[in-house]
Amino acid sequence: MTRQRRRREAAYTEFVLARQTHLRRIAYAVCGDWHRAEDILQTALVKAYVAWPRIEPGREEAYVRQIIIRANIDEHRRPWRRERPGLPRIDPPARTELPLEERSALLDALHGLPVMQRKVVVLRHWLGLSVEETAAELGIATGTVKSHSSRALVALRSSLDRSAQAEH
Amino acid sequence: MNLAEELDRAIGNGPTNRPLTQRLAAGRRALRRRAAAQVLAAVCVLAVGGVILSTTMDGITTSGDIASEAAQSSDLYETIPPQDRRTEPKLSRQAPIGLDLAGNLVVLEGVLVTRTIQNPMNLTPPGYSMGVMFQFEQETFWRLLHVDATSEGAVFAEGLPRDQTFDEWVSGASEWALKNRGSVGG
Repeated sequence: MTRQRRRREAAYTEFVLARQTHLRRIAYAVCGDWHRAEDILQTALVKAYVAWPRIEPGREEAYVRQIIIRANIDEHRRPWRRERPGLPRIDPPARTELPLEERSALLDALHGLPVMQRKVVVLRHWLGLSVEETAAELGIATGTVKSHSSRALVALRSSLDRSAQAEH
Repeated sequence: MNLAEELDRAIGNGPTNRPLTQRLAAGRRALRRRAAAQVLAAVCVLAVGGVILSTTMDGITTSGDIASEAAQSSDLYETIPPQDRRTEPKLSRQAPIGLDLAGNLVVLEGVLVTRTIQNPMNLTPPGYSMGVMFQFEQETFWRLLHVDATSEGAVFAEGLPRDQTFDEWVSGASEWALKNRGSVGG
């Protein structure tokens, strides 16, 4: 292995060990499925590995995050993603969701939002990015970020209220 | 409610991460795939370029090609028998003799050729000329016939010149024909 390759792998390894958990949580926040989140993260990390020499130092996380955020997370809703591998009742499902009780009402409300609103909430209200940074990350106008943010917060509040009322 | 903190708590950490070795292996595979794709793309570009160049060169005629074609034409001319290269000239009572384009003398039935002078105009192949003295329907005629790839013609003697021999007449007619080639009908 060349010295350049060793340097690349050392830096990449350090980055992955430090940030993979956080990046996978972002993927999960956006897609709502840990296994799908792992796939999205893996795809993003592979792209980052290939592009590593071209990524500006200090921008590695933003690079991977942008790939995650821009991933087509609705792919699993397409008909060809609905197949169920294995024989029914014989083969156990390869992927299982977390038990229902581990999911919070807030998370359910978040994943009930339209995709773009969900992404805006994750970037703007969880990761704390500015409107401009969120707009750049999503590739949309700042005005669009604001409107998505406003509608998302209203929808979240409404959803949480309904959830609270149902509990009582 | 602090939304960021609530979200952070709600999202949790999920299952354990994939082993680092898998991440690295996937990255290396992708790098190898990309390198292979680049090599393949380069090969494709070269192949397409070669095909385009080859196709383009097919349409270009170089001076060497022209010389080669000319040589082939010349060979063809020399190897094909003259009688195979030309159709017979149209003969009639007004024009009972003629040259085919290979320079062969063709005569109408009843013509008696008494003398010929071969190529007095010194035409180069495929051109050819011939001075012909002949008898037809009990009369004597002098003719200078010439033919080349693009035209054919004849010079007729107005009667039989008394002050010239046949050779002198053919010589003079040849000079005249060379000056007026193409404008003399045969």
